[in-house]
Amino acid sequence: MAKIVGKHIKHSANTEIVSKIERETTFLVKSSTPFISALKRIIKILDKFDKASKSNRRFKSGAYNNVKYVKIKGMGRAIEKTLSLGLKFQNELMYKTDVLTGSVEVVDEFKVGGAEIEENKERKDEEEDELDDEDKESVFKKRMASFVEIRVWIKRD
Amino acid sequence: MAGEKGVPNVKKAKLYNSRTIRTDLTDSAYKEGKLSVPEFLNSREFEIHSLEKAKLKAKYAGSNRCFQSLPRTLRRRTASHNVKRIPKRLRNRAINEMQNSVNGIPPKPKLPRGRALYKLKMASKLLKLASRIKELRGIPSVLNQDGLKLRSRIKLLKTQKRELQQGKGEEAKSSATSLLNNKMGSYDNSGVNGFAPIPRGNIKYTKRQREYVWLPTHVWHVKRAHMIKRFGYQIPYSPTQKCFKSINRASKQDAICFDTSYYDSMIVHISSTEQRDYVLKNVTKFKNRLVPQQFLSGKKTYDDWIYLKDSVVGKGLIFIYQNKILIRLHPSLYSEYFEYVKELLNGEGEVHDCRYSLGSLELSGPGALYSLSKILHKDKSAEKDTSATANWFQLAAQSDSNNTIPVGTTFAINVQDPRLWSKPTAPPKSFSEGKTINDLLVNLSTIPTVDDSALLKLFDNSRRYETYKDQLTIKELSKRNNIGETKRETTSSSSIPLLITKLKSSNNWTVILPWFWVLPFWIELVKVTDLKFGGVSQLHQINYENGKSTFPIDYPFLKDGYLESEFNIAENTKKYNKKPSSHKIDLEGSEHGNFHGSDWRFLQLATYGCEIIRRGNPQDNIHPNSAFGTFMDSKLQLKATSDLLQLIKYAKEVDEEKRLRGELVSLPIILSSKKIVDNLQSMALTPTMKFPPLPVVQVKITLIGKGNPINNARIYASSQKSGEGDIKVENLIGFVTSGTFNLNLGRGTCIGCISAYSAIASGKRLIIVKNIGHTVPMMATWECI
Repeated sequence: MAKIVGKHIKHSANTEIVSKIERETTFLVKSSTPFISALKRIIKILDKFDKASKSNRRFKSGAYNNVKYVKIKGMGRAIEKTLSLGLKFQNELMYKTDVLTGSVEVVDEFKVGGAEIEENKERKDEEEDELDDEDKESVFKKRMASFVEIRVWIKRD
Repeated sequence: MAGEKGVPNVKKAKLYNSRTIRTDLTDSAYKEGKLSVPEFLNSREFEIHSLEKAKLKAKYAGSNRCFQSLPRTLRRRTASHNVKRIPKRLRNRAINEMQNSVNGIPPKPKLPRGRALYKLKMASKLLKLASRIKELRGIPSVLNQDGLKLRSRIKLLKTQKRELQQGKGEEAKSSATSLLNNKMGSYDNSGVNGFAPIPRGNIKYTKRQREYVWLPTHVWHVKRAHMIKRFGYQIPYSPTQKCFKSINRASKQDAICFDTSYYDSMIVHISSTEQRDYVLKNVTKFKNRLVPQQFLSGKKTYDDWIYLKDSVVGKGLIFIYQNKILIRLHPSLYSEYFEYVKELLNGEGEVHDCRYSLGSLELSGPGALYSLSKILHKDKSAEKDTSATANWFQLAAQSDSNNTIPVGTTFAINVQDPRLWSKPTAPPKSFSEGKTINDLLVNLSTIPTVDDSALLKLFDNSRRYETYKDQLTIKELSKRNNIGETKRETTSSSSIPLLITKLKSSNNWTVILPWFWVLPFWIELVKVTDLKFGGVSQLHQINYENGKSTFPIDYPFLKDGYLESEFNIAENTKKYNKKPSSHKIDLEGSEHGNFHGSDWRFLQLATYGCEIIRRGNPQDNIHPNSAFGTFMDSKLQLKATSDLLQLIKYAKEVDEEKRLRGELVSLPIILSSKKIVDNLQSMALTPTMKFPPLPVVQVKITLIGKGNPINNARIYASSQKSGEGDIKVENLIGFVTSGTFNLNLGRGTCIGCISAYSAIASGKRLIIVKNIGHTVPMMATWECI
């Protein structure tokens, strides 16, 4: 494969629309996500399904009854953090958890080329001539990236 | 009042009833000191039920009008005395509640008499005549005649109606203006090489839109939003309901739609490729370069700086298709620019004013495309299913529109009248086995996205008018719905061209379509669940939260942006002067510049003035009162900041005089380019009021700690860590144009402009932001937009 010369823009793996329920029950871990705040936010999601509490009524009826687990997903560098989150839920918080591994298709964008300078014109000002990245032609390439998914099963008695 | 004594107080009785809980006192479950639980429960069944009932009664006794129990989104203005404002399912209850509570008979309405009755009758006669004429496919002739009395207007309409019925209009049938091809009153209102006349709208509301044009969705919007009269239009400003948080959430998760038909478009018809290149060179930022092929081929739209005679005037959208160029601009720029383009053409080619013949919708948020695709349906009357349309539906049906799709991506498709479907329907997800949305994205630059027939229709005046042919009225639509859905295709043959493109300036999607199709699309679009609507204020909010600037408010270095900032100062001053004197806090001495807004003139004079003072003091320290200004050789010498403040005060007085005389005051700031910002130190400066305009850069500011910055906050250069000592006039480097608490980042951020000299000098990019009237400095960092 020929190497592409140009600015590389990495895009999110989430290019498709997800349903509202899926959005509310999935937690995506970034490499910059602090561990504790991730933990707290996931517990917050799980608590919404807790029948004993009176808040978040929506989560205790209708289509939310079919939700069986909360997903925690992480890619690349965040895999380790995702796994340790999973372990925390499994060993300390006593949730039933599943671990799934897989790869996901991501799209890479390269900004290549640019407008040619007219021949008979001299370059007056370098800054003005600099083309925006947005104006350059973009080339897309697919790539597979590995991810891990932890399923934390909601406690329903 | 003796009579009232006998009448029981209904309200009190109701309240009393709602609060009493009836109880059953006999209890057989309690035997020999033991309680039999099932028996006890059985015996208490009555009590439990009445308790539950009582709870409900207590809840509803307080809210004795049915609209009070409605959710906020369904509440309407004047719902207390107009049943039509209440949803149909509650109307009977509302009518009951509105009746006289003493005897149950509704109050007799007062009928007008005499002159008032005559006036009403005549007005209704006029409206009936006008609607009859509309049905006969004519335009009521009195629309364009101001100053006629009511009776003569009726007379004119009567003759017109008679002529239309007798077929006298036959000879004029060919010309579009005298006899329309539809009953809706839709027509193409464009001007060729000149401005199109202002549309007059419906005869009932003609008077109200003489000066400020109504958008196609005006009537929908006035019921739900605050409107502003700016730029020759009545523009929705913000929904009546509180929406700051919900708009933020929708922009991250769902979608928001806007009617942006107030953006004005013109279509330039070019005679040759040389002329096309000449026009593009003078209009776009590609001065020394060739315009990239992706713009020339009609694959992408250009949404960037627009030039007028070598100077930037704002940002605008340009789309090139064959020999036509679409230029879409903010309405504040339009009229001047139209004349400029006409000059550029120099008699060859034509320029069409399409501001009242092309409307547009804007959608923001990840669900933008998906929501839009729910109301669009392929035009089946076309010969074959073009691949552009298929590609569009594939992309829109499942892609998250905020992500990945490059800005400028453009689609042009033909669709059917969206009103033929009673509710929004999701398009099928139509990928073949093993293919995903990513495959489509990878090939986006090579696959066809533009249907030629759609663009030919959209960019041509007469063919645009053809799309209104037999446009269904609401009456016809409801009749059609009664027939059944199977005959859908046979009852309408509409084919509406759309141009859908992703804007670079805001990352929003915009849909450009014929003016009179905006309303039908809008009505259907707002039926989509989880779709909110917004006004200009929400567009500003979304841009701000994503760290993008909004025209004109964030562009004070351009003429229109500067006028906007002056306008804001004037408005704030007016508000301030209306306050009682006890509430007026005079900040004249304590704030740098006019404390009602961003004082750019002050910034310009202060920056140059301080430089002069610094040169005069080799020790590089400026004491506010160390020395006084002296006149030497009949020239003012600047020695201290007190002299500077005097100079600024005087300069402003001179400016004000100039303004009153009607002379043009040049802008105090300009956008910096590399050429301008060489060095302040080497510049020859003399203490006058005629300093060169100060170069500024547009920046995005993020607070380091806590704080809530507001618009027009002052920006100071920071030298030490503490900050408080830095709030001095010589450290003033700019103003915040939009600032508040950013819900996306969870901290205060601003968009503003700072002097380019200080931008070069500040290495760590640390600054201080200080709100007007506050003393607490807020440390922040900045980066260029």
